[in-house]
Amino acid sequence: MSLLEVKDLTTSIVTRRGTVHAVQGVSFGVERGSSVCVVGESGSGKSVMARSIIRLLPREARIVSGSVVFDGTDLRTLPEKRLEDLRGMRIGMLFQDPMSCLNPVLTIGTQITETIRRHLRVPRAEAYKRAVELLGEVRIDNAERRMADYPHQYSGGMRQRVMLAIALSCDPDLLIADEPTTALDVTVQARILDLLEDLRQARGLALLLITHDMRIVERVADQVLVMYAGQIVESGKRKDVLGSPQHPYTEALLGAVPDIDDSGARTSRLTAIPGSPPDLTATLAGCRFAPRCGYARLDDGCASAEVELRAVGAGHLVRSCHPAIAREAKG
Amino acid sequence: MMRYPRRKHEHAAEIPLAVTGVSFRIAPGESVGMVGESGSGKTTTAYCVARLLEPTGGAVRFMGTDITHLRGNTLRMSRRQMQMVFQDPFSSLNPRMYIEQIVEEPLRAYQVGDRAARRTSVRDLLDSVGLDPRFARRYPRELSGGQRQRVCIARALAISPQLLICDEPVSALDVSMQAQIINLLKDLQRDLGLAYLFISHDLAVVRSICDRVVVMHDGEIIEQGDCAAIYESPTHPYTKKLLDSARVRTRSGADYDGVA
Repeated sequence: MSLLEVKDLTTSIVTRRGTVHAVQGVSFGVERGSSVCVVGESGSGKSVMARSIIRLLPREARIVSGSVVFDGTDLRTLPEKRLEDLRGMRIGMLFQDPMSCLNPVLTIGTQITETIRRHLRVPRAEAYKRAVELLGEVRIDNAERRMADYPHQYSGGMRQRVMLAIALSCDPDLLIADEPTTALDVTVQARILDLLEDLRQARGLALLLITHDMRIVERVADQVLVMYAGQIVESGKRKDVLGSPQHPYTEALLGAVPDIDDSGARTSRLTAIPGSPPDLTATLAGCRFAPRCGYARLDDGCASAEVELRAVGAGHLVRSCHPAIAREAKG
Repeated sequence: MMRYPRRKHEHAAEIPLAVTGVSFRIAPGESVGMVGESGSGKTTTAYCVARLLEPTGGAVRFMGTDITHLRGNTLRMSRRQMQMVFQDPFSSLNPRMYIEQIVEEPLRAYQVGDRAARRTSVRDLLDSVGLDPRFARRYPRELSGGQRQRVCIARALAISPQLLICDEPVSALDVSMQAQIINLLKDLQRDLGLAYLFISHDLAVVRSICDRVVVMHDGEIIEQGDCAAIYESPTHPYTKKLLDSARVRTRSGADYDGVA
């Protein structure tokens, strides 16, 4: 059985403009020790999806249907109190902006030991010792001395590593990371990704990583989920999804990334996706990507009939009327 | 077009220098990338070029004039040829102005044309950055990040500058929006013959838009040259490290087959 099993998850957010159908029937699993990357543009629903798993949603959001089973426990029906025990203990979380997640008036040491003592009920001295170890593990130099520092005395990359130390403090089985390196420099980003990879191998930590950066996916993913307009439009093993992308959206996302080793880059153009994602307050029918899709024709029914996820290979699913293999078959 | 022989920020002896002895030049119509980690002095250098900061040493020459210590109206007139696009398209637009007012503002500031002429220019500018005229009467908050960055570019182009200084113009955007803006900047350069000073920490983006690249580290230039030369055979170890961190490869070095 998978460590995490998400089935038909649907989440809506009530706003003044109407109800936003942010997540629409998302299903996937995360195996122990594996890493799953969720990619898509902003507004594709990937963050709401991740937050729905641990029910850390804004007040206006509501999980409409579906189930989230973590190691045999249904998180959707679990009482809030029991869920609080689980969050931080067995499921660690890492968000994009480390500054707004840390309390500016508490020392780093206090904030790490706080989490440890909340979940593990160990003596203060032991929690302190563990916190220093953790800081060392996320490669903060002079860990012992830096325990007494405040968040503003840390750089952005170091703060994110502190958040990682907190997320890992209780040795969780799953880490949910929402754009953990987006705000960071390339070198720091590389260091944090390497660190995550080491921890995954050393501790058997499973990773659910949300990003819009295909280069990160290429680096860390075992499985890839591509989200568009609240739905999964393609999923599969990294080498399948990145090596032979089937959905026109996945192809476009990959084509939009400039290649550092392309000597002709200066004179060629990137393949940008025209237009912008659809408004999710509307009830959408048919393929959500049809208006931006280069292969959709008016008469082929893309825009009206609901498109299901179909298998195009072992474990490789795609939701499109025009998957690459069908296009190739037509010539 | 420009020369910066030496530049120093030393307000007092004990204050560390943000940028030291930086020298580079940008030819007309050329685009020069500036890369380095945060804190390496890229933005400080750009601010000195645009004279948003006054350097404590060295000189900035722009179109034959030494602008290092210009003030008042003479500085204003030299800035006419040099505009900036900032990283954050949210805080760099006045939330209480219509898009058309924002784009018109530089024209008004430099008293270009009469009202009707300016209005036509605004339409043309919005068109040139790929924004529909119906955006003219909208507020920045109604636009997406990519659309806002187009507004920033339209505003910068309003008074037909020779040099555009772009400070991380695409790093706040999604990949797909990023690709649109990069293509736009390339098209504009081809059509208008603009010179760019393009600051970014993304080396792949710089390669796709720049002829030459300047690598900064701890406030100094450690390497500069043609993109092809630097990307294919960097000589400084720090440049190598930057390139390695950015390269799209899994850690095993294999392309796709590393992980089962």
